[in-house]
Amino acid sequence: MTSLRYPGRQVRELRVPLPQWRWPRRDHLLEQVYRRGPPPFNPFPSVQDIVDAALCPYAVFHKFYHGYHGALIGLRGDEGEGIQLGHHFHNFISFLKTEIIAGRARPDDAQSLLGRYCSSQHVDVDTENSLRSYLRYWLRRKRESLEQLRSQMPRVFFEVHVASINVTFARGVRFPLSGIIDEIDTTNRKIIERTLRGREDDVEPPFLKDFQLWLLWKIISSIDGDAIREVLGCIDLRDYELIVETPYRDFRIDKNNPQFNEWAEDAFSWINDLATGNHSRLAIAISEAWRNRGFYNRPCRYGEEIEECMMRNACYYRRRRYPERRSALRSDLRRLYYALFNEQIWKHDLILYQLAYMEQCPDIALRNELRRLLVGKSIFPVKVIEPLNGENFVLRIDEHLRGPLSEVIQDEVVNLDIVFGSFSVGLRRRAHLDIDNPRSNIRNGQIVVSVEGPINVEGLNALLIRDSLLLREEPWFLKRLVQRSLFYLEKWGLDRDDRARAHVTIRFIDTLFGSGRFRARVEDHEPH
Amino acid sequence: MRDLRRARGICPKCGSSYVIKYGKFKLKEKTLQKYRCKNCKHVWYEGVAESISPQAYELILNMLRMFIKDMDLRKSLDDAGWLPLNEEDLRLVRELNFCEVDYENMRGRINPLSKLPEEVLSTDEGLIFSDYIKSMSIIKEVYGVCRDEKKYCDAITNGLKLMFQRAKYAFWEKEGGFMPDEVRSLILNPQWIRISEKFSNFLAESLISTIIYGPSSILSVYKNVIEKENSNLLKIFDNIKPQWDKILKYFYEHSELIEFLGLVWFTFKKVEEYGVDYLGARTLVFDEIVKIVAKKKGIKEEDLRSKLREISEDLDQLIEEESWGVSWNDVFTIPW
Repeated sequence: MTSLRYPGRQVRELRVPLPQWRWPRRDHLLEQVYRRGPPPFNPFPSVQDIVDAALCPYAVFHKFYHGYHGALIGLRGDEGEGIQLGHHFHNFISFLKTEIIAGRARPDDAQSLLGRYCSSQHVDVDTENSLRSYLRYWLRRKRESLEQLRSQMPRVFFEVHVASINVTFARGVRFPLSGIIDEIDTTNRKIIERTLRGREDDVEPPFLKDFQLWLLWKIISSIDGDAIREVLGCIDLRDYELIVETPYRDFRIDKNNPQFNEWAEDAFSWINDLATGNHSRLAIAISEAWRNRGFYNRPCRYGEEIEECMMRNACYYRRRRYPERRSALRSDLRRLYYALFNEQIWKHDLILYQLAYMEQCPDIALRNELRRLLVGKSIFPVKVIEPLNGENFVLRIDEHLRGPLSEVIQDEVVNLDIVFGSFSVGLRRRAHLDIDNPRSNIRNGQIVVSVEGPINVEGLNALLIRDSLLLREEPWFLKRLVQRSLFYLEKWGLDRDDRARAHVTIRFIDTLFGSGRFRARVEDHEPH
Repeated sequence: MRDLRRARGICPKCGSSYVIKYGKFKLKEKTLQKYRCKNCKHVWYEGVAESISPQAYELILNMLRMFIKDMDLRKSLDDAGWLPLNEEDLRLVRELNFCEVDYENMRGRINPLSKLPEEVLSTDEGLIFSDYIKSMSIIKEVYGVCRDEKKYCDAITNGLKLMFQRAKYAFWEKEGGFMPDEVRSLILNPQWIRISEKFSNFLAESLISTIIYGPSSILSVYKNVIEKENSNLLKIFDNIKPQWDKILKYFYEHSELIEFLGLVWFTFKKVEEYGVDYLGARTLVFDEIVKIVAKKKGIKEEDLRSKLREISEDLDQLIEEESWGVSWNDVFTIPW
């Protein structure tokens, strides 16, 4: 099933498809090039980037240069809470299913389990009530399948991270793409994308959710079968059913929708042009993105903004007269936005390419070189010895990695993820090394790690994904915070003009970027 | 719930449309309406029109929104902003001296040539409207400049000078040690910022004279300028001369690109001076510059756009064989 809201191309101009993606060269991957200026390769896009570009190309610009997160939201008024709600709902469903599969709970316990979940996650009363009402709808139609879970004990994985450098669409051009699949049920051969979006009486999947799921399926279909088998215990996911699940209904998604191919190629083309370090190309792409803003059959305009877009206040923000030199301020800030974006690609996207090439590149020599480069610096291969409970695991570390890992632990701002399985297909979670745990002893090569997010320990045990990775990244997301703050400054002003005219920061900006005068006030006790 | 939402626009902080009115605030000059976002609790103010009746005020805002929508769709100034009116609206519009009415088609709009009252101008719609009006007057000015060949040349010259002034002069070398030591010490010198101004002036003059007189004049300009400069700067000129000559030749053969760059920087300065903030208005000016240059050079707009997209790659190719040089991509930029 495809959403009926996609009648075809009415507003958006057709983008010239890319003949090829800008990939990092061997010397970039092996870090033999000094990192300066705009990277000569494109970012490693996520499924969310592609969906956002399909929603509105200008959203990609805000995302890259102004540090915004995803653009697509639901149709509820309370967008901020909506994100949290969706996150909690999905986490709870995975928790519920895990408990039922493990035989620790029955479907009738769902409501009481929700209470337990909410208190453990410190969810406030309003959110809990909302979750309860969504759960009621969901349980009405899922009771039977939950009973089936108890008897069948299927192998289900939640929040599976997938990444590939071999995703192709209709024209056969190769692209990189990464994303997170909400649920893979390898027993019943289903891939599920869960959402709170949509309404009770909807007869079509929520807007762009079908496209999102299709992209995730494209990634996993492009990954080598052996890599998948090692983690998920199955080889071919190409014939799996794709289901978008709302609290009210399940929608089966058609994999052969030609529009999806067109949108995906379009989105990659926008990302290529907007992420370029080539200033002239970027200036033209900005003007084209602005002309094509909105989605395929509805433009986004002042006063008629697209409600689903979380970034509409970035395009149509509150306008204030002061500071008067905002335009000149923006020109100066623009360089900083670009520089901060470049840093993110050098720091974050390059490591994604390195990891993906390390596992998927046909050149074995390059794979080995990358492994040698990254192990002990960005990645620490570990083995899972045993799960202590749902959140803590005991890991074994090889002898040669004990020293580098000890050094990493000294770093107060260390940002670690654990990947159960591989980077291409694995369960990627935030991890904290619990060095105070009595079972931790780095000298003996053992450490306890505390993991955030749902993990089906039983599922893991069944396959015993022993090979895992501790992944260390520099805090690249701080650059996004700086971008967001700068963009906030660019838009900033006071509602009251009388106060704005005399405001010290506004006068300072007008003086720096214009011909305004800025004088210190002479204090009474100072000689005139 | 429906009444609470969209009381007036969206929250300026989080973008939520879950907004309520939150009381009024009286000042000496005017009254402000307070709003509160139910999502992020942010409170803000918007002016309340006191000299205009609420019905007329709403009608004016609708006309302004229609104008913005039409201009976003790139309608001409004559066709933009016309709102169908009923008898009651007509009565309201007649009392306003900044509106115009087309009685034949029963429609009205804000007159783009008239001055809006402060309470209308300070609204979001009023500010975007004035941005569009400013951008239209910039475009008109640029068209005027383009009709006079001398003014056109001056505009391009000034634009290119601005481009070179604002450029970031970054140097690169293929491997450490390729760049001559004297050049390295000069560009790492704290005085480089001051010296780079002279450097940019030389580049600008050299480029401009090439466009006007042709590539044969390169040497004479080069000589005239460098004789007055210090010896270290002379060394940079000597070293970059081969790649600079290639660039001059490239732009001489693609004069449409250099004319575009000059004109776009000339116009950009005006956009900054006028304080045009709304992106729709800025891109309108940009698109118009593409149109002007394409028409003047007798090429298709799309061809010019695709040539502009390729500038960086072309410049990279030109200096591919050099072992060190300037990052010309940071010099020949489009400022939007």
